[in-house]
Amino acid sequence: MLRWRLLLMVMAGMTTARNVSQPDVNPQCEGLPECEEPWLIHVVATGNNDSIHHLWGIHGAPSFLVVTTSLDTGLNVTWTDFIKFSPLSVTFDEKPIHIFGFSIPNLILFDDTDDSGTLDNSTEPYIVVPMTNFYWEIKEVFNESTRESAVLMETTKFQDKPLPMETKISFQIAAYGLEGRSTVLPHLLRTPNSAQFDMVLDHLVLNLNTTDDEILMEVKETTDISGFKKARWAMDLIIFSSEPLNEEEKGIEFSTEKSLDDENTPGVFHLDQITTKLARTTKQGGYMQWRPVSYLSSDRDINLSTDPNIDGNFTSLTEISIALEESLAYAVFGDKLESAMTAQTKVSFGQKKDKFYAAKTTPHGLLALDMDRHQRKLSPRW
Amino acid sequence: MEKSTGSHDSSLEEEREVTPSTDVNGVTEHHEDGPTEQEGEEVVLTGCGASACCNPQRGLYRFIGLLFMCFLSFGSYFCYDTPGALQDHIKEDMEVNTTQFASLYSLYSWPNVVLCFIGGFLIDRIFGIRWGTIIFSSLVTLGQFIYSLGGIVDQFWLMQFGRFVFGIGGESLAVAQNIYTVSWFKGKELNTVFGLLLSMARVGSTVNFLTMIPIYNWVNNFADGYRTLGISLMLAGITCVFSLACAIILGLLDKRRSEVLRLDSAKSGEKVRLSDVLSFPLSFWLLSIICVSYYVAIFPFIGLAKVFFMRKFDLDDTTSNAVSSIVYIISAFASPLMGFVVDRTGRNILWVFIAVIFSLGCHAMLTFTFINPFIPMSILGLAYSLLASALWPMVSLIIPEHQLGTAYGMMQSVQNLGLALISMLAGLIVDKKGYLVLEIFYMVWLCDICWRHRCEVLKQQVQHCLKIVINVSTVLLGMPNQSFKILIFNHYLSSS
Repeated sequence: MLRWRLLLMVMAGMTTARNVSQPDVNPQCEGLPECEEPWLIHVVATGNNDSIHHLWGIHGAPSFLVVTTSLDTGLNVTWTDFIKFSPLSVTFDEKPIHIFGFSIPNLILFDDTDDSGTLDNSTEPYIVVPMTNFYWEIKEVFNESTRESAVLMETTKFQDKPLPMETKISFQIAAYGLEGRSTVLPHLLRTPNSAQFDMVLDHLVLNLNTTDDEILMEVKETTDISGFKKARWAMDLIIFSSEPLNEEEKGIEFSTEKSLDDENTPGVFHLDQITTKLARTTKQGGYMQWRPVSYLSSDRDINLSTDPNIDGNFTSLTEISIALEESLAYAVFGDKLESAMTAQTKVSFGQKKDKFYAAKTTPHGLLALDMDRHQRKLSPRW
Repeated sequence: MEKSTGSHDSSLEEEREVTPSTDVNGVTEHHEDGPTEQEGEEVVLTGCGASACCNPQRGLYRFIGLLFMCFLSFGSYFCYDTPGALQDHIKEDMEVNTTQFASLYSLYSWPNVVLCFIGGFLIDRIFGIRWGTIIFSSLVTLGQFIYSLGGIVDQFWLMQFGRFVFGIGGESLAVAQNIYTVSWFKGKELNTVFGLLLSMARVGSTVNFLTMIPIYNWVNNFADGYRTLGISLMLAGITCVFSLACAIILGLLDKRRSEVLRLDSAKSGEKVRLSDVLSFPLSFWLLSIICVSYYVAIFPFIGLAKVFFMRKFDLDDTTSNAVSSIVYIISAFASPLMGFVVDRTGRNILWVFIAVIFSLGCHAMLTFTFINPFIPMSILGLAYSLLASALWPMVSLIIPEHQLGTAYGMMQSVQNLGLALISMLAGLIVDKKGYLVLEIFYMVWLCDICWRHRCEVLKQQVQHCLKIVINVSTVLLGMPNQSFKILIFNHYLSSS
């Protein structure tokens, strides 16, 4: 399995504690057959001065948003429009103060012939797998306190065909009301303004070259995936923000920092982050943070890990794909998504000599991404 | 092992037994040991046997023997650090964590907790020097090949067993090398030869760090994964075969030398009596603790350093190995020089203290800064050389001569026990808490030395200052009574 943990964070004034509501699946959805499957999950973290709405949409391109609004601002979902992928079908009582989030429109399977672990414009061959091909269900909801809410979602089908038990993509998303540190590696710092995102590609061995019904390979040992002997997975990543965009300035940027302290993430001294312009200049705004490590086993041993490689040369979103059009991001932003502050890039997983994704008997991969601005302040750099 | 160069540094004991040495107060002591001549007719050599290179009576013969002595332990030192040079590949190819990897070092040390006592006995009473050397060299070679076979067949337990067998031969081989050295060079160039052997040991370790990655990359062209690892280790084992050949040749040379010069077979001269341990003073036990406290901050650190340099300082594997080897390569040149300095100045305790302080500073630099690791590792190499030159002779200054064998055996036993335990603990710390905590762990051990040293260093410095004050006051105040000065000095010593 490949597991990646990300922290999604927006600065919203002081980081006072918040009360976190339990996850509301398909809020306000009634009388429609679509209400039976998960479309949208809503969690509200209420503070003293404002509210943070965590919106997690898994239809189309899975999208994860952190929306800051004034206190007591409610969410409005026009379900008849939402299920038809209409723009602006998800709104708020008042215009949000700030929106920040990301979407994953596609997975990409590529043949890493030069064993570099990275996907670039010269990489061939590769196969784009739209996330619209996957069907999801909510496996578990965690809400044991008013300071934390989490949801575990897993894929159940690929192109209308059931996935084998051990083959799945899973997302675990959590919203927090208190400052603290994650109890699992990479032990990322979290704040009341943050959400944590954990992505697992578990035994994702798909035969994408066949036209018959045998798409899925139920094998325990394999040396290739879809004919790629050096197969690796990557994904498209689109980051967006509601901040005003000045064409002369860089909106969303990628940066990496080095730390003396690897106590919380043994063997990892780097910290990668994506920040908006507002976050860089005024410490208001949104950012994502993660430790550049992808664990390859469920016990998250650094000795069995690989690297998530992000292309730091971001480009703006120029076209809204079908997967993105069916996503929560489009439902919130509408056509303004194209002109908003956006960045699109690719994230690939692997490093030289890690034996690729389909390795030995149990292809495992673990990604950990965390987005939290406060990590910079609360983890002293010595 | 002070392959751990503990064994080689313990050769300073033999050095002191045959050459003058100085204690902290500049008192010299002389001791004699080594092979004895037999009475009888002088052997007359003719023909080829009388030529300079074949005549044991000529100096050239001794230096030919020296050549083979130098390479006697080369394979052992080369292969000892192969885990460190291939750390990331071992962990990837064998799918083990750092704790399991560290066992490749600790298993080397475990047999030497006991063998330090009986190595000399085995050579003196059981095998003899020639066969003993060949047997121990064979064990080193066998252990290395078992270890590499474990890689080829992807069985980590076999690699661990191989390292255990390797350890059985390694330390005892160093003892045998020391015996040969004393036997051949007593009363002649012994100090220089010991320094040269120590340097050769360091060269072996350095060459390992510089060559194993290129070897692995070359083998990777026609093999893959654990097979690449195993074949690379097998190629490293060629150095052990070479050393074994040197042992055989040296045995033949020694036999001829004994026959021509009518000498008894060389013996270690060690007398190991465990009951003597009960009478060792507290200062000896403090020395042993200081010894193990220092070396656990050096050898387990070097064993795990490669991945640390790769992850924290973003070095590639070849450069990381080069940084790891800096300590050894500097020690190869600096050890004789540091030994000379300590010999000239005495003050062993102060030099040990200085070495520890510098080592602490180096670990602090590696921990709390991103300074190019070449710098602190270079300083660490100098500090390590200084400590070895100053620490080991101190045993001979506090233990009676007839108990030295036991004392050095005990000290090396404690050292190996510490290395065996700390190596595994270090691996566990890396897996659970990362390298920052590991470095702090090493610094705690070094601070422990400083704490134990503080009284000795302070006492030494106060004594020195007191002497100066007494001498000056004698001159200035016209105090002619020598006995008065001695009275003050002794009073201070007794009260402190």
